[in-house]
Amino acid sequence: MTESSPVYLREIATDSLVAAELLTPVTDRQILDWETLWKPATEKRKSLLSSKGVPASEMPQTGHWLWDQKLHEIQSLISHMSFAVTCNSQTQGLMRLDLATQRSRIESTKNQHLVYIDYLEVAPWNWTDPRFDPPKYKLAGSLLLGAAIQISQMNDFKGRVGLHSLPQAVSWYNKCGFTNFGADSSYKGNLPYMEITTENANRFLELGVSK
Amino acid sequence: MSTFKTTAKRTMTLNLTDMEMKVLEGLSEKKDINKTSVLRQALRLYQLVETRIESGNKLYFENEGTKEKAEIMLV
Repeated sequence: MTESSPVYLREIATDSLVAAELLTPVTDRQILDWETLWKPATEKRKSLLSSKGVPASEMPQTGHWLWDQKLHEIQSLISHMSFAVTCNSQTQGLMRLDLATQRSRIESTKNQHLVYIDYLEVAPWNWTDPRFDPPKYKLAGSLLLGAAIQISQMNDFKGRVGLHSLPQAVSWYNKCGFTNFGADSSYKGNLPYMEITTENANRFLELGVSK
Repeated sequence: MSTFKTTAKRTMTLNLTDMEMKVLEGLSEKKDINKTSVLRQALRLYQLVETRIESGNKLYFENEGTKEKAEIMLV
């Protein structure tokens, strides 16, 4: 059964907080939004950039995850969790967590349990990309990261969270308090591994993303 | 940051031998998590391994130094 908690997103057009919901697990309704709203909007943005001759290296690195498959893979597994942020009857962000198979890489907590973010993505209209209109809503990513930290705390993992970041997201995770361990040669695409400590996780929950 | 609701929990009594309890306490201390969390982690991994095995996958341990692989036989 899906559980819902009230949260708030910042609507950029009105510069005000608007009511939203944090859901777990993700339902078919959010998958439908991804299929019918996210995918066309992503394609439109990428096509626009292509038509302007933007090289592949400068294209948005997000928007390629097949959320229907990602969520189907973890159906009925208690080792994984899924979350969505919804607002205005639309899905604004999605996240998949792994609670079982990854361990801390920070020296002082090496091999201790943590929550690993398999995937975290916000809707294309919420991307912060100066080449497009300003995002419709902000804070969806922060709410999802906050949920991951809280799941870590609830499982006695002390707020520790780890992930492999897409290169374009590294600076955002840095601002959230993550430590960058550099490129991980054992991971596909050599993506950098990043991890947040208990102290920085507490600071993030209190203060959010640093400016 | 808003706190979300958590799934309702159910309580059960668990009878363990002295040795089993010692192992549980040892893991709890080593991993710095409470005993309930140790058991939850064990259950998560157990179900994940079972699901993967049922899907036709094999479970291996790989030695970091030698890269030697040893299959865990689950029957």
